[in-house]
Amino acid sequence: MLRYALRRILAALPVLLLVSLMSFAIVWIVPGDVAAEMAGPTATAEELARLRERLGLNRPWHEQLVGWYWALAQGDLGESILLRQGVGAAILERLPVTLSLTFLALGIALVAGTALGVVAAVRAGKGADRAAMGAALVGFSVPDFWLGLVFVYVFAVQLAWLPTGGYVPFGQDPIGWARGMVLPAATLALAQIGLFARMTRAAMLEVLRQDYVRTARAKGMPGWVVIGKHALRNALIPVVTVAGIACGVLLGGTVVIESVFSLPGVGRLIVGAIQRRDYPVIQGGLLLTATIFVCVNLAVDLLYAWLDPRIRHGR
Amino acid sequence: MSALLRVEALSVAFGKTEVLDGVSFDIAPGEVLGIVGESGSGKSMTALAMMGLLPPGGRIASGRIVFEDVEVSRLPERELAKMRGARMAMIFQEPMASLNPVLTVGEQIAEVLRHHRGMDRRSAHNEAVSLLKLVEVAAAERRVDEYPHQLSGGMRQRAMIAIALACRPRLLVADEPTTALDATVQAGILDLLRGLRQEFGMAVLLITHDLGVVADICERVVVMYAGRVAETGDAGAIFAEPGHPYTQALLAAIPRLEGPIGTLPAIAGVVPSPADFPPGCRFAPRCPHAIPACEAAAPVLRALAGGTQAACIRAEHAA
Ligand SMILES: Nc1ncnc2c1ncn2[C@@H]1O[C@H](COP(=O)(O)OP(=O)(O)OP(=O)(O)O)[C@@H](O)[C@H]1O
Ligand code: SF4
Ligand SMILES: [Mg+2]
Repeated sequence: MLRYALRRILAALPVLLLVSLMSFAIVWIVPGDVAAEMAGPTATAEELARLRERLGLNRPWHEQLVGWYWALAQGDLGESILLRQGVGAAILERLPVTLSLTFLALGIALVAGTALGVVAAVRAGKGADRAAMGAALVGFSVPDFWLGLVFVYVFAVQLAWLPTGGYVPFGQDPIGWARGMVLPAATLALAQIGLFARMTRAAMLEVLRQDYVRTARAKGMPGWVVIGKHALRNALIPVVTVAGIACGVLLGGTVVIESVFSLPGVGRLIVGAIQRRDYPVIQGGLLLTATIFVCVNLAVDLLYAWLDPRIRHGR
Repeated sequence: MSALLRVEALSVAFGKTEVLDGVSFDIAPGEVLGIVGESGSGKSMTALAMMGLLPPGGRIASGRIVFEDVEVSRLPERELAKMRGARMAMIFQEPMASLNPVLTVGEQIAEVLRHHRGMDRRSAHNEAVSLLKLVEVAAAERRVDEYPHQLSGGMRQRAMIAIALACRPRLLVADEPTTALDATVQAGILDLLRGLRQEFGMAVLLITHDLGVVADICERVVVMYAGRVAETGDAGAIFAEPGHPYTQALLAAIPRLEGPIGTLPAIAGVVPSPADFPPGCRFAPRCPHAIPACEAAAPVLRALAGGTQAACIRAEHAA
């Protein structure tokens, strides 16, 4: 298991290297003069020169590259032009919002999706199956910003059970944090619930036909053990594979959800930075998003190996 | 002496198609009974019906199954589950597919002990090691924590047997336990079954299409064809004086080591599928002794001079 983990970690390193190169290259790839765009049309030549100096744009590219990695190694992502704040600090400040949103949504989607999928598979062809799969399809098809607005209207405006938006840090008030996060996370999760439900149902139907499920029944194991232990553990293997992809989709979805629920997260930071050509922030955001994605996939690989001993033993 | 298990006029149907029709036999305590027949003759269905494990859509249309004086064919699933794996256990043909790939062998044995015998984790684990030793798995202490893919085919089937024996069942149903294994491994598994059966005095229902295996360890034999019992009797009598033309054909098809390959007298034709069973005697289309009367009505089992019971109206002519 340890060797497998080390192999996966080593395999992730080139990806991170590539992403850091791409982040660096953004300023070179975009058409036009980066400094001019950032400074805006009213900037004087002197201001432009100062900006170039600050961004290091007047140095040769290989010096810039070395500088970029040198700074990265020290955890320095540069300065935001607009926020007048370090990019690292700006991101760290907003990271808890985005991470809680993403992982809460992933948790909701996994738990609710697998549960729905298992029920649908066990009752295949019956009413419960059709209801669950119909709900999954609806969850798939409804755009999340629309659903978010409906949720806000019903639960926050009409019923006034939950706040309409805003963020309370967990450390400050866990209950307030949870109340604030429930609606956005559920909204974000909905489409993925459908995805997990369909995946789980298909995997379970396949697994329930296997001989070892019949063996479990022949051993006299009660129904819930046969389903929940013998069948589900096998069915989860393909489901976990999708979890990595789903996590990427969720991370991307936070951009919209953060806007709908006015949450001060990284998604909104990046959108703002793109609109105002704040390149250091865009670079940092790209690097961060990719790093999270790589970490999640690493976690998925490890989970996968934990679920399936055949992978652990390198077969 | 009362039978351990009685199957009485058992019919099993999927929708309107009857795959078993009036199957009857019984097993005495400690006895080894063989069920033989070609592929598709209904051997597995009979065993699965006994265990209450018919595949989805299958049901007992008529007849009864009585095990230890309880009519198991009428028991609700909850009661059946208490019996399965404890009083009546089953092993299957494909030892790889029959073991759960994500659970250790030890866990798959131990959970039976915890569930039926109420053992705690530790003693169940220790007992799992003892059971693996009992079925002659080498290095049992190490194997117990391994996964099925780390074991050889023979070891997997031994592990399946260990699971089945965990609660010292009165009846072990073995559905082609050696078909998927090499000849040498096969002999080892059969030896093991023979020894265990003597040690525990449990009855064994051994399903096979290999008459050599039957000759090896069975005391009595049920020959099945197309969902019905064709012939039944003591193994000695079946081999010495088979009454039913189907049994005769099966015996003639046993590979003989002396004969050159290619001259084996196989039975021409195949077992019909349940949807197009012929009327009357279902063996008639393939039977060298068939006459028009054979297709008029289903022949019933009747005692023959040779000591067996056969469902054939012309058994005396076929001898
Ligand atoms: N799930 C099912 N639904 C409907 N019919 C089935 C099903 N499974 C098996 N049958 C039919 O039941 C009949 C008996 O099958 P069974 O599996 O008992 O044969 P068998 O004697 O065990 O053969 P084999 O030696 O191949 O294992 C076959 O004709 C088969 O077509
Ligand atoms: S009843 Fe007729 S067809 Fe059937 S086995 Fe006997 S002789 Fe052959
Ligand atoms: Mg079979």
